[in-house]
Amino acid sequence: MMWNRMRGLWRRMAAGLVAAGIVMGNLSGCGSGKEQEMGGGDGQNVSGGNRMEETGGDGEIAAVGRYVEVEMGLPQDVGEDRFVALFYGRDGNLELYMAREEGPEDVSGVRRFLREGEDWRLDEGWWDRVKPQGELVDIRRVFFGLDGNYYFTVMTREDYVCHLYQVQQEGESRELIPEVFQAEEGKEYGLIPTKVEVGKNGNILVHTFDDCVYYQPDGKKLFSMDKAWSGTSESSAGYLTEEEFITGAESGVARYSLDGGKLVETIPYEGVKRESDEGTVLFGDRSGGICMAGEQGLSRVNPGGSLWEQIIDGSLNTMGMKSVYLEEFLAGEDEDYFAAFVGEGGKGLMLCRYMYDPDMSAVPPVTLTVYGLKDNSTVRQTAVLFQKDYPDVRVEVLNGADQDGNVSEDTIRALNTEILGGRGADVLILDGLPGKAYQEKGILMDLRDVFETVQRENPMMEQVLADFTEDDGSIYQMPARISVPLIMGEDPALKAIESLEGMKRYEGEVPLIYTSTYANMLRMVASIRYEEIFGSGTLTEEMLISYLETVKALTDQNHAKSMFTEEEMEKMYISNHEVPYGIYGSDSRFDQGLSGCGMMHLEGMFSVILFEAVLDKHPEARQDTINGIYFPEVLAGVNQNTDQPDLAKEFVRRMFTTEVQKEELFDGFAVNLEAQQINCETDKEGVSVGSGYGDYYIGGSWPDLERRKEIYKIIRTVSVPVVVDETVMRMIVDGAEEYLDGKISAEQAAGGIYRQVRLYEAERE
Amino acid sequence: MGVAGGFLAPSLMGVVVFMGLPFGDVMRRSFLDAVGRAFVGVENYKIVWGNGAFRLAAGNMLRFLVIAVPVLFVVSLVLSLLVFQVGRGIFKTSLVLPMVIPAAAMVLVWKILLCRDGVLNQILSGITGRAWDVDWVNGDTAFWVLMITYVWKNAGYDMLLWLAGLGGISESLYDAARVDGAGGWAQLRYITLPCLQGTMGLVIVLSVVNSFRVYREAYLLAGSYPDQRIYMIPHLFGHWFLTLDVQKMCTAAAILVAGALLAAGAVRGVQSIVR
Repeated sequence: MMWNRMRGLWRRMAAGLVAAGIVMGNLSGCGSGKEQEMGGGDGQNVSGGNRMEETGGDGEIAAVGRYVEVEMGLPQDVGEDRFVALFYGRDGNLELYMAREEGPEDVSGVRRFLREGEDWRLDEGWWDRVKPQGELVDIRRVFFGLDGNYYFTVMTREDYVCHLYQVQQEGESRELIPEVFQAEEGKEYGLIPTKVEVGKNGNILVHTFDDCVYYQPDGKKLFSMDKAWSGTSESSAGYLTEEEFITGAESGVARYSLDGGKLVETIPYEGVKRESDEGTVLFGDRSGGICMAGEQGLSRVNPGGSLWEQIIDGSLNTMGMKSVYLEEFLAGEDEDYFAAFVGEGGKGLMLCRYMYDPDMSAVPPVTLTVYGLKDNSTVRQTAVLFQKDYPDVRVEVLNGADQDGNVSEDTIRALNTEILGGRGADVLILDGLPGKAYQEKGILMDLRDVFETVQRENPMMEQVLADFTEDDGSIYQMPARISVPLIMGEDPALKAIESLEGMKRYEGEVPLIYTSTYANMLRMVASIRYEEIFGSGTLTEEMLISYLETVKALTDQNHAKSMFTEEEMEKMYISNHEVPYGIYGSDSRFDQGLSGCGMMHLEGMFSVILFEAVLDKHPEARQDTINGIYFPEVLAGVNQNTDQPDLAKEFVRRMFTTEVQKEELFDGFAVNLEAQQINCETDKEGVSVGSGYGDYYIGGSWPDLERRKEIYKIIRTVSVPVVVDETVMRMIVDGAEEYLDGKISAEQAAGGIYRQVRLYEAERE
Repeated sequence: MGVAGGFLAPSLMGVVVFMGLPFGDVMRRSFLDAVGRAFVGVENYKIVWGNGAFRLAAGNMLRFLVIAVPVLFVVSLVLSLLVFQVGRGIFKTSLVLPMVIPAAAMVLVWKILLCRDGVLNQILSGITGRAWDVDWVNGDTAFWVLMITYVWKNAGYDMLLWLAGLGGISESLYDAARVDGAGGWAQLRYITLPCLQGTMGLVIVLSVVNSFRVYREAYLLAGSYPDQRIYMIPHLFGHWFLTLDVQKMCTAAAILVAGALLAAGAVRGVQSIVR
């Protein structure tokens, strides 16, 4: 008995000692001095090597040390040149290669620049010395092989065949393995590599879209290695080391041994923030680490390891910008990195250097949150530019949609719960959110002072500003972009579009206008006849009947359905997908003479290309807006509860600056007038877009100045914002299906929908 | 009292903290604007009382209580008597089964049965020889469909409560009644029902509580905006929360609680008069 008691007492004492030890250990670990190493990093070049330091005078401890981006100077006069390559050359210096087209009939002149200190020195006449003689060629890539020689690849203009050249010591070039790239008998084109590399022993690695083939210098194929699919013909993520080939694979980064091409290991992507392989650069650093750079930043893993470490956060710098493409990323000599970014067509080079600043806080101490229901390029672009100017502020862009981009009522409820709790994001992107309700409830801040500044510094479209300004002058939300539906066709068809009755009564040889499903037709008609249907403020039963009858007439003409089978979709080249505003395939049907008019939802000059291409083929048709309607996009507002009203307002102001607005980000036209002017004058010669299905194909190139002016003239005239209430639209889509299927009458369907809409309105009274 | 109070204290504290205080905040917010910044007096009460959607939802809820709860009461009692008399094996299990079926799965079956192209219409078409094309969920029948789902779902549960009550009635009472010549109906009326009075209260309370959960079935069956006959208070509250009409939600909650207290007071008043 006594023994048992003693044993129990001893156990309790032991447990108490262990607990006290743990607590003391933790306390001493947390508070030992002002400076302390975090993680097991061995230096300052990785995030794991951040130090803890007291920041400010309040005793707050924070990690310090972060890579900082510095924009590098460019060689003079390369603004219009196309980026070709950036690498360390034979002398250990950075070398930059830029291509200049000296005329439509002339070959690309390639200029070589060598980094000397902070300047670039032009290697005069380099291209004249090394270029292949006797053929018109376009440069693809210049690179420095592991064998210590320079190489370049070109495409011949006449037959579009790739050629690989090795630059000889005396300056001239020697072609290598030409037989690999020649077209096989009976084929039109030969192998067009996405990338070529040369190993230490002179063997040549040729990247294709889905694998890489290793050749001897004499052209003998050794083996091939699988790699992740390259989305474009001019880039491939992967690199050679002396003994290995590292490349992207389906589920991670693959390491192949060059001794037989055997897969050594696949390092999973776990922990790496990445959206796709596009714009991703894989490279090795000087300590043998595998680095992956992309929109999300720079991550690194050791061979044999599995834990990726984020070294540079892409959301804080140019890497996260939507308007540029990452072309090259290199590890420097001083634990620094170099990156080359380009704009459209490989032009507009921007060189950046990333240097470790041991005194800068590892994570910016201030966070500004921006919440929206979808990922938005304009917001991301603004966030990056904003953070460049405010290095102490981290802009966190939150996307409320799920992985598939779907938004449920629960998403909005979760946001509302935060807002009611006095929290919520600082800046709200109100597309799809109940912005009007937020405004009425006092959730949104009055931004009139912001837009007074905007109008003073970077004026935006007056009518858009007026459309979102309340009677008392207050402004709670404002679209940073607008998209515009344009229509084309002959006069009778365009006339018919002017009213529901006209659309219903239209009698042509072909249907008036096309879209795929009932839902899309309902959405399209609701959008283009918005004022007629919803303009009075209350949706009447009579109007609903007229609207449904119009849609019924159009869907009958087009043999539309609520949902097509897989077989039908394959046969007719359509999908059941509900698209914004219901505009789907209308332009191509018009082009093929299958509908009286064609419509296109224009979100920027890129989407104008196909519209203009169709219009070019139909001189009898004219283009027009649809009663001056436009769709507001990227509606920005500021949460009244924000702790950082000035920063939040500044962020919104930034969204409307020329710097952000001038970029074509595929989410609408700029509302800033100066940006519109810049975009209008920007000639992206060489940019072309094509689209097709089955035997049908349409393609076009960047519109000429006159066309661009014409488009912007139209854009500046739109004055009717269309924001169809999604709840009402859902009621209509759900309630109309049986009528459009012919199961019930228009009156029955309209009655059911009307009762629901009335109930919806009654809730808001 | 001291010891009893000690045992009751945790529970009481829980009720105060998790029910009393939030309800106090609800009452406070019913006199404030949407974001709780400005005092608006009884303005919210005027708005909510005059709101057509609230009246419809409250009316539907009341209608459902008045019709569905008595139906469930009777059905579950009859089932329990049958089970008690006939046997408790598979019959009892099958009646309790709806309790364990997830609502989403159950609703899917109801949809297959009751949609325009559903099984019920096909059966009726086969029987009557004419085409039945009724949307049972979204038409005049929506209320009855919801009531059937409610009764189907809860009858087994209530039956168990009744069975527990029935099991507590002494067999000697029935023996004595039979000796005195009482038939089955007389035994039910003079022995079974009076002895089940305690269980009745419990069944009614739990049936009312479960009737508030019928929103889940209504939502899954007919969506966010169902037929007006099955538009319930939770539908309205869900929509008001989407538009941050918190002041309306609080006011409506206060009105409903006041209504419930009035109803309970009235029942007690009637009971005391009858006694």
